[in-house]
Amino acid sequence: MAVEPVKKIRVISHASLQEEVLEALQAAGTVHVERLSGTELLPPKEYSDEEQQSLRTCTFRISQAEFILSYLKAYGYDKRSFFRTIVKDKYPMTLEEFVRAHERVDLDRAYAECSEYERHLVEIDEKKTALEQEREELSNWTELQLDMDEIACKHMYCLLPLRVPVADLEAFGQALASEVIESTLDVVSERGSRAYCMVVYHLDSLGLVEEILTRLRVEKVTLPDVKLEPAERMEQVDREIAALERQREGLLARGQVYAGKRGDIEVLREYLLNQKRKLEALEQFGMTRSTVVVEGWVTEGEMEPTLENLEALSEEIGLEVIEADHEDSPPVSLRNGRFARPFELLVGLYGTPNRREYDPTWLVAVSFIVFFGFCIGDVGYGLVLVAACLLARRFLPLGEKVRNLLLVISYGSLFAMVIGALTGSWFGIDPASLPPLLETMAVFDPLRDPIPVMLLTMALGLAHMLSGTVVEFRDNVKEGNWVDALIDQGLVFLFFICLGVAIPLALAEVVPTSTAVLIGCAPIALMLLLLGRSAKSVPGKVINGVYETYNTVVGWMGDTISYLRLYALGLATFVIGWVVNTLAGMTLGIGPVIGVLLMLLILVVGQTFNVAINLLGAFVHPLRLEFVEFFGKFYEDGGQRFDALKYESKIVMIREEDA
Amino acid sequence: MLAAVQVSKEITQAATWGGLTGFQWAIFGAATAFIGGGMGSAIGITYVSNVASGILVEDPDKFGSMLPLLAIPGTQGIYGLITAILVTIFFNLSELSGFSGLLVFFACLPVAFVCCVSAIYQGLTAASAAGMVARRTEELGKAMVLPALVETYAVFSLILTIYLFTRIPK
Amino acid sequence: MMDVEPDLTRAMKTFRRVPKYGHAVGRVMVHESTLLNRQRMERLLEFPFEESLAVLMETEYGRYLEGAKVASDVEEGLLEFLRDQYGLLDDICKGTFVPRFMRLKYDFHNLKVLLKRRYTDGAVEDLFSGLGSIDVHRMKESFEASHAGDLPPEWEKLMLTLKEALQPGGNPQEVDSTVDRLFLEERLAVAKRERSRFLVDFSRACIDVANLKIILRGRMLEKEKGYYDAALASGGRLDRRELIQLALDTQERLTARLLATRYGRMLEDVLKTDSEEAGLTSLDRGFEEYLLEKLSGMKRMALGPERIIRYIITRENEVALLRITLMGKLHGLAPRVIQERLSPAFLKGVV
Repeated sequence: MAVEPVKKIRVISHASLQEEVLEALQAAGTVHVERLSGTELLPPKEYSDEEQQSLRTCTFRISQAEFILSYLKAYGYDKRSFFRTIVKDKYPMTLEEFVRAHERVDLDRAYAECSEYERHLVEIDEKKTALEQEREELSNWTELQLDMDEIACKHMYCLLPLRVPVADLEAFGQALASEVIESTLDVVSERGSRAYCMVVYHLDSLGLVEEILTRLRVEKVTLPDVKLEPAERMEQVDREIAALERQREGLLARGQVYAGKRGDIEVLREYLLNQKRKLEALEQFGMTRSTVVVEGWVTEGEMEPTLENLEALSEEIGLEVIEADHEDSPPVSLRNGRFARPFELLVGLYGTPNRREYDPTWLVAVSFIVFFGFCIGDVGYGLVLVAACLLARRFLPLGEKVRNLLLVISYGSLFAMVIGALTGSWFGIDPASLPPLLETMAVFDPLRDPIPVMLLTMALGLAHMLSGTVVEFRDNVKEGNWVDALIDQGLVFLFFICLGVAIPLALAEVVPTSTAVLIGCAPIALMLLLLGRSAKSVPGKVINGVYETYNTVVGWMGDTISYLRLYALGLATFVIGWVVNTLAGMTLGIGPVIGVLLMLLILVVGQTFNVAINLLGAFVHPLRLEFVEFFGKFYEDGGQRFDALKYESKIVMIREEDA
Repeated sequence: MLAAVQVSKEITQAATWGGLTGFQWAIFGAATAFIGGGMGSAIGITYVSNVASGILVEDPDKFGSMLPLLAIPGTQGIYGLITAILVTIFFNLSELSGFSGLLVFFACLPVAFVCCVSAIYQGLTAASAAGMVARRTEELGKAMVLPALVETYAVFSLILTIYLFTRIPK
Repeated sequence: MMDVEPDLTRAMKTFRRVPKYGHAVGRVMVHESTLLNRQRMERLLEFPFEESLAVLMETEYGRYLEGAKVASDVEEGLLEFLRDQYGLLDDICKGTFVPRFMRLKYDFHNLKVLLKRRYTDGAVEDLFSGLGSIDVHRMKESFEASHAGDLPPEWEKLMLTLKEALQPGGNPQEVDSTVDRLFLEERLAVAKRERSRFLVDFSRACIDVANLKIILRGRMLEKEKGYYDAALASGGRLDRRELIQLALDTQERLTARLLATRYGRMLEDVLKTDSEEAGLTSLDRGFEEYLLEKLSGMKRMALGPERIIRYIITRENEVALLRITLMGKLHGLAPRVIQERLSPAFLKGVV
């Protein structure tokens, strides 16, 4: 249960074996590749033209695959159910199958065809939009019985289609009649507030007409230049739109082939991403004239198999194992027992610990389980959650992270059952109507006598934070900072010890209250003296001392009170369950069949809602207690995560060959 | 002196205070607590869901990770509900004196106001946190802690209200 | 003082605008993650053209620059990319004036190009089609007919003002400054219609900055009152009439007054240096820094139009940087030379 020790490894091989070494490293998945020697000792590898080319090809093919996948999505083939948006498709396969992913899809062809389809679809959409616009304009002119190619200036007379606001129509007509001789105005149709008219005028009057149009803000309309009447043209447009629709559907149908291959393409993309990661790892390689040198970190536990693996490759490979010295900053790999391992996920959410930091995973594990238990705090809900998590783990295709998360929740839910029994909470049923056996198990009554539970949560909080302080004390001692350890953490311990002595003494009236207060506050005087030591000047030390003391005392008080949320959240679970039950009970009186049905409905929906909403709270709030109150006391992140070169993917699950 | 004590006793034990009975005051308080919490949660959730809807249009795969953020500002409404129900469980309403009823009403106010305001601000914080998740889904853990910090005071208000209930003469 | 609101109303606005822009902000948040980061930009600099394209393949630009060989491919691709970005803006900000606000600069750019063509024959610069809110052809038609015609109603007044301001035989310089002024004023009007405090503040800061630039330049060229009348925009925080007076006043009084304004800190270097040349360069830099500060201040409010505008401006900058980088590579410039050209362009999109 600690940060796992790692050792340096150096692999030296002939340049011609580079590909094999790389392959073996990725397949083994145990080496965190990093160039450790300085540039002067070991010149960094430069990509050869060939390698450049393959990296480029790889990148290009990834973007091809991405394009195809996004095209398929836009297609409407990716209509996923609500459930599938959360649980993504997973593709279990052996490593061998994964490496051969490209054999199942012809990516170039797929890309060429899909981009062709996409281009056509865009074209069709553009044409369709244009036609629809035309149709809309034409619909205003259906009453016009004139071939539209006649609308032009011919034989000294011009025909001009116009759109005029109905309100301005009269003014426009008068203006035309009075100013332009030999002109006529025909109103073809009125649609809403616009009138659609045809004006006929003599070519000589062109300027006059234009002037009137500008003055009265009348818009000219352009109609298509075809030898058809508007109504006929409209029918034609309708036919054309229908034809486009058919073309579109045809295209979509042709793309169906690839929609069926979506899984293969996704796997291929994952493979290519891994391929690219491998090529990029080359950057960390070192190179001499005819050899390549790989350096990296291996955890102690994986050292043996890694060496064996590499030695098996060829006899020409030189292997060296080097102890890490003080100047190195090795990556951090956490190693925990089976119980605590899933909780590394929670620590990881905050950040990988600094490599000198104590690995707090087991502390987080224990406290998180307790806090989670308090927040759910019900036997029935705990049972349901445990069952649901274990079933999901068993039957759903889930990634490693989610599986761990489910395990974390099941541990917490088990403890929730304990808390539920102690507080008499069974599916939120009113304690008064519980069987006597269950009722006697309930030691606490959070509803009518909340103070004991509140005190309990605060006590747990204190214990939690004190354990964090112990860790910091240990870290300081280990670093040789005895002064910091004794003052910063020691005084906190002293403070609580004094409080622990003073309060019972005062309560038992062994000493007068004033003496008890003196005992309790003695460490505060020490804090005032010592906590300000980091400031340079004497007044600075005094001010800093007061400030730090205030921060420490008030901070501890505030943080302790913060743990009361556990009580509030637990109570919330119970009260809502209780309300649901009461509501359900009331419906029972309605009628024999409907009443029971309604009751069941309310129970199922209500209790599910209650579990869901409180699960969220039971996860977020304990996490906050860990991150803010607990980690605040000691934790330093900023470690480099141990990130071995390996085959990895969120959706492709590589299983052992023999499985 | 003695007279004053007697007068105050008369006031505290009278069936009505300011024209309302203890029952009426208590119900008034319960309703106020829920109105505050519920309104705040409704507004807060509107904020996050507005932003989340935008994120989901661009990236529908994020639905799973948006869901917890959407639900976070909902807790204040639940606290309001709990307060309202506790009023009915804790006190024997029909026998509550006018003055005690008034105290119940006052004790409900922390939840009513603090939950309302904190839910709204939590909505804003959660909306910003959604931005973190939009960029990197792995940030979800950190993104959820931020709004949880805002909620602290809603939790405190609930605790205070419950504590005050225990101090009110029944 | 129309925009002074009671504090409470202002506080409530914070809440009211979330539902208005929330959806858009959410969508922008996702797109923000596709912005090029610094490392990528630096990697781009070092590679030759072909490989830069390969690097860009992994980004949003991939589809637009695929197979680009010559300068015009790059130009066309980047323009198309920007057009699509503005399409996105229209889409996410439906029902607000934000797209208008952002597109306005392209409309006025187009207008300027058209005007220049009239005054100096032939093509001066290309029109940005598809980026402005008004179709280039429609603008051209209306422009040639000298009336607003199909253009939105507020352009009618604008055209009129333009016609008045531009007597035949006027010089192109003045045409430019008049159009610039009209642009700033029109943008402020759009911002006011959107009722966004941020947009209004931003437009005003731009007006002030532009006005100050005009005054300081104008004094070096010893311009008359008529010049300032035509060029100074109204609506900024600094009163226009006062600025005109100041412009014609003594150097001491001008310096004293300007240093006392909110722009004092930024103007300090400019006003105290003796060399005119140095003064002008530090003037430009000072203004750019000021507006940049204004922009980075947007980060604070996560859910207003700030975030959307910051995104678009960052994109525009990015496109400008890419254009310079890729063009430089096509012309065989060394990475160091390109880098030198980049720094001033960083802020090109800001104003």
